[in-house]
Amino acid sequence: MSRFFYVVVLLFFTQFKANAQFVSVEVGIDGFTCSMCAMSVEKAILQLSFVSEVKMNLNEGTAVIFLRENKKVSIHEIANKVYNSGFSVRYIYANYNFPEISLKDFAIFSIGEDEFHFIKVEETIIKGLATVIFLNKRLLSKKEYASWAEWIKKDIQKNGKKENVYYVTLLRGQ
Amino acid sequence: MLFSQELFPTTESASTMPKGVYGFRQINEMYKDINGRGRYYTGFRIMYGISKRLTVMGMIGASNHHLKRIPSDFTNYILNHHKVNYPSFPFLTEGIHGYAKYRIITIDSEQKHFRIAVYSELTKSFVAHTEGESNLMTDNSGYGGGLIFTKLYKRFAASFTGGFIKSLPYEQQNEYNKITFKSGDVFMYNVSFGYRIYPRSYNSYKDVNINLYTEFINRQYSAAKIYYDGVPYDYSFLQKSGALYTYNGFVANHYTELRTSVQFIFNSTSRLDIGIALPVIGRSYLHDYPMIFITVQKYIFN
Repeated sequence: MSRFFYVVVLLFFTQFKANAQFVSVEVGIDGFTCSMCAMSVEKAILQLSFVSEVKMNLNEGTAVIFLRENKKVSIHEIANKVYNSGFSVRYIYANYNFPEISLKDFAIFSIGEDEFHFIKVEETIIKGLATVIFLNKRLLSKKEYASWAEWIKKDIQKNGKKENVYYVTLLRGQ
Repeated sequence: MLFSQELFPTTESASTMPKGVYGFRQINEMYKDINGRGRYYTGFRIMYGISKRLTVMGMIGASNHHLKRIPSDFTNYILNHHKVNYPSFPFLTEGIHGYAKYRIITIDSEQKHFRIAVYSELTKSFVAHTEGESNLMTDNSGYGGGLIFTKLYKRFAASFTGGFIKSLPYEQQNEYNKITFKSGDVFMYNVSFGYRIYPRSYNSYKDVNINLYTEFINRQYSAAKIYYDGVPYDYSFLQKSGALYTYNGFVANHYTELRTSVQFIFNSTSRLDIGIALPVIGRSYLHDYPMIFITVQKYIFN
């Protein structure tokens, strides 16, 4: 009985981990070249309750953000911290542990209140760790956003305009 | 805020401080006057990032550059106060200075940016400033404003500040007369360059940064206007009365001053600037040369 109990508990945690939302997030930050600036961004991101650690690459202006388990992650809040520090977001990637899902253009995957709308993806099935790139305004550079704006319009035409939508695509090579 | 090679010691860059971050700066300037006596200025400034675009600063300044009040024998004062036998000036609280900067344009990309900010400033002085050139740091009461354009490209930064100062008159009621001294209004166009010489690439936040700066302070100002009981006071006699230095300090002027400095940044939070100001074209009469300046600053991140 007790053995069965431990197996159930182990399975529960395994399942829980597999369902964990984001594993880590990487942010490319535009507009700075100095360590004082990097520190201001790092300190600001660390204020977020769902962030456990930030590893900043001072030379490239990128931050890898490690996340606390069981906390709701807001990519917009991460972006706001970058902008409020006086800089701009170049890109945000997130490593996500997906259950098995079928992907095609404009497919929707829900995480709690948030919806991921996949854009410009080949028809495929993904399972496990995958990296998504966020395409919403302010979650990537203005120039990059402009190149995705038409795709986002198409998604809105197909799926309607909704709150709490992250427009994402898969990082190439996956 | 302030950004390594665009953390100019004298001018402000178009970048603003991070939201919610405090900074403290202590500014020290020192030179020997024409009589070889030491003159010192110190200012303590608090800075705060109200929003990502808006930074505000408040400063209190003190120096031995001025008297609290102009002596009642004004003519004797302006004839002699730059002479060696005139008593040294006491160290006094000069005034308070408020400054606000709002970033209006931000074009960021990887390891570079171009930004434009608008600024305004206001000073209330508690001393008698008797020079033609206005200065809001914190010599005389007045207000000003302007635009700042800053370009950062990797380890190099360049900035241009175009602005004005509108001076407010110093008025003093004596027992038998009233003196009004209005310094000239200033138009300034400053150009600053910064370059990070060390490190070429970072290993950690603890790397000491060494930045070199060259700043050109260009100022043009109108002549001082003096009134004695409301009647314009003609100070042209100073020119022929052995008080040419004072006279030159009263009349309209334009000059270019070079300020070159080295900056050290420690632990990515604290900075030390050490620099020297030298005349290039003409000169300022607010101080003598060479003028040494040392600034320390610390940011308090939440």
